Amino acid sequence: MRRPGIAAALSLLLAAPATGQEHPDLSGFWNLDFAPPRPEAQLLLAKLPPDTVVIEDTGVVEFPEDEYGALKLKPEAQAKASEWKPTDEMTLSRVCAAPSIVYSIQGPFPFELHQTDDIIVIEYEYFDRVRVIFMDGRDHPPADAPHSKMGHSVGHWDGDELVIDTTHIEPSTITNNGLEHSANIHMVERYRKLDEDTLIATQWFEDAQVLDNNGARLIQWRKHEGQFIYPYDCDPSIAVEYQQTGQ
Amino acid sequence: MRNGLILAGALLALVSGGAQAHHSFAAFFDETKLVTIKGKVTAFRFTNPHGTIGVAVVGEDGSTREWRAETNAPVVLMRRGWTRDAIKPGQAITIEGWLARDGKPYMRLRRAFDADGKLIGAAPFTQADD
Repeated sequence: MRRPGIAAALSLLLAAPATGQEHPDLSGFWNLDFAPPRPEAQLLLAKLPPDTVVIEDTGVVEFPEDEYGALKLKPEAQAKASEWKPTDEMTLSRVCAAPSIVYSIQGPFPFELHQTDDIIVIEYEYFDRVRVIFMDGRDHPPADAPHSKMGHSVGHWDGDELVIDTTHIEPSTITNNGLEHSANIHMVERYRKLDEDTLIATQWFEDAQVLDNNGARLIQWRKHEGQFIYPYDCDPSIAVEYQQTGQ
Repeated sequence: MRNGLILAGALLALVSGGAQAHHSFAAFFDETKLVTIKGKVTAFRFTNPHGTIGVAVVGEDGSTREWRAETNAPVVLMRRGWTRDAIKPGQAITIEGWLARDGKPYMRLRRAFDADGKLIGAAPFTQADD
């Protein structure tokens, strides 16, 4: 049985008109591509705003403690991040806390994308998250509207590239090692389909409350026909097991 | 070798990092410390964000130490041929994995073998995992 959030999102999708032919169809099951990025990635990287650093923690690679790529952290953010310890995450209150889209977009878990002209729905396997991207020209809600881990996303087509602008993201990790973004983070993704089975994107973000420069990732996925995402249903009991180990 | 623990230092340069999930592999586990334990399974939990395998390891002095091996997320394991019945309490098992940095008898599983030396699942977990 699908979760209510997924059912609601898919209802929206079914009510929307079918996609036209003028844009690439990004629908399907996509999983991280472990091959090096294709040369066409330079086309997307060239479109990143100035003062942006590409951090190389995409996929299975992760930064160790106290390393954040070339991101320039504000002193307060640096101090908070330096206090973080890996074992902080192995507690009942933290172990099943889903990260925001800022971190979870790049991990080695698949997603299913469902596309129409007016709305795009993405189901992420990681922590059972569902994301709606409004393609109907609407704006973001007022700044004081509720925030969520998936944020509020509006999208448009720039030629053959899908551009998604996201705000209202609840504070969460950026690099999974103690660096957290604020509620004011602003994220822009640019997707380009390189061929029928290869999708590539840049994920750019700015957060003046936390960073003195801007960050980005380059992510490449492969399409897998006939596959589907599995339920995640996070179970926090691992935190208790970990705490009891060695006692 | 104390408590059945084998440091596999020669392999360290060849195998780096396991697939991430809810917590940072690099921050939590030491990718330069690949170890092997042999013992009997005391528990197997097959839920996300990570499965766990409890293993009772008997040392040369006859004392038993309880280890725990954390697996990749079961959603990943299922695509590698694992099921929730892949491992049963009481069975003999050999597990190779990366040690936790905090000194606990806790590791991230790279691969596991049953009593007959057969690999559990379809493939070990390496840097090329999903």
